Amino acid sequence: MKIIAKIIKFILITILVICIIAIGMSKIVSSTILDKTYTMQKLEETNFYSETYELVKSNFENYIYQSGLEETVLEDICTEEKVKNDIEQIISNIYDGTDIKIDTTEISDKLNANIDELNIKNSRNEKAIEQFVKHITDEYTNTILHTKYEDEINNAYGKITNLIEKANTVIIIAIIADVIIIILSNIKKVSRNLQDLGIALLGSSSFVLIANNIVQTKVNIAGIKIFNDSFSEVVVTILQNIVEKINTFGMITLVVAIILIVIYIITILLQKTKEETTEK
Amino acid sequence: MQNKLVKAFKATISSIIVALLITGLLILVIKLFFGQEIEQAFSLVNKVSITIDENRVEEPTQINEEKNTLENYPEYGTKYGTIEIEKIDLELPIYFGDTLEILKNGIGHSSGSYFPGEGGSIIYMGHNYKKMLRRLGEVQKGNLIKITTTYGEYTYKVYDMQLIKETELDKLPVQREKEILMLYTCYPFNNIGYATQRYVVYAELEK
Repeated sequence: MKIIAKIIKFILITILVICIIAIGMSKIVSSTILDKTYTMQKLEETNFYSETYELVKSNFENYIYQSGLEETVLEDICTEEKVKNDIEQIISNIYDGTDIKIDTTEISDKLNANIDELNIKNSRNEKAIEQFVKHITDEYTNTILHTKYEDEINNAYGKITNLIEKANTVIIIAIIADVIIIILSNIKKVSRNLQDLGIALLGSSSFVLIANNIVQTKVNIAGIKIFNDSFSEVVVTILQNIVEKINTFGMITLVVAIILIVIYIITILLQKTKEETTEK
Repeated sequence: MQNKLVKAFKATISSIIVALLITGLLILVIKLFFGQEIEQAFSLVNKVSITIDENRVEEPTQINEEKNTLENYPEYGTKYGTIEIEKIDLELPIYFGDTLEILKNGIGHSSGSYFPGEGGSIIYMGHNYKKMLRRLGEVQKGNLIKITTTYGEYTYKVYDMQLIKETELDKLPVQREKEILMLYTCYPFNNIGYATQRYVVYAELEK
């Protein structure tokens, strides 16, 4: 009977460990990549806007070499301010569910004006110039958006946040139920609750710290390259920050676990001393 | 007192053992049920992750005359030589690779073709921009194209010029029976907008 009780307790603590880890990870994800302010802050910190602006200009130059036009036609057709506004618009589309498309009219108008200044337009090259302008505006949208899966990403955010919210509710209910059952099972020895909670936190922290260590050993986060240097820097910064936050979570739970276990041991010692004094 | 300390010590150890047991159990379960997926995820991330070995010493590119092959190929995107065509006063750097970024800086070497000295097709390309190959149409049969690489100098004699569509890749055949240099650019040379034709100059190894 005692063994069965111990097995049940072990299962309850294991469930508590899983719930603590799940709630911790969910909070970390919600406060990082799923948080609009956090993402905007990281974009600012990594100079993403200005680097994307430089990339846009560089990509425009690629077309100039193919077009046969003078480099001067690209002068002032796009500003860093526009790049920043458009990126913020894309971020809003993802996080706020808006559906505002990138407007390239300003770019095409300025480009056409610059080409007109060269006085080279005629009926033979009119279509080619139109195509060139289209290439430039398409290139701008592609550089800013980075992906053709924009709609999928925008929809995914809503689904993920919804799923996380539901999962959080289930986890919290599970934690409360689990803790109540543990308390009830320790009704005769209240101090045991401290030990059980301490074990659960210790299990969670060791799992989180070991798993985080494995990930850091097996994956070269700092070397990740996606799309281009500026985007890669943002991804690496966010991932490294998440790893740091997971480590902090692991360390905090470890400290709390140690405190609970120490309090439990002190309680045992005090109880024993009290019992001995009473016996005497 | 000793008895009490033993009891406390036992309680601590048992707490740690149970916690580690749970951790081990969770890791085992995850490895059993999701191990393969996790390994796939790791390898996927590592595929887009670049490790730079700062202590690595780059070996110079050399030609193995016996095997007609290069040893220590140049890194993709790096400059490994220059091209000179006296007839059109052209001297440009050659880069290994053909991305738009590379072509901004000079002549690109198609990574699917052979290197000078390897005895096969060498495919070079450049923009028709005036600083690049705008004057390629002035090159005539018998003109020389000099390629100076980090491992040797090669001279090619022009024997043909052709106008091809951008899709006619069979006009740029990759073979290893004869060393042929194919240099091309967009056509018309002073075209405005995207050009769908390519002007190719064919040259064979002279020395």
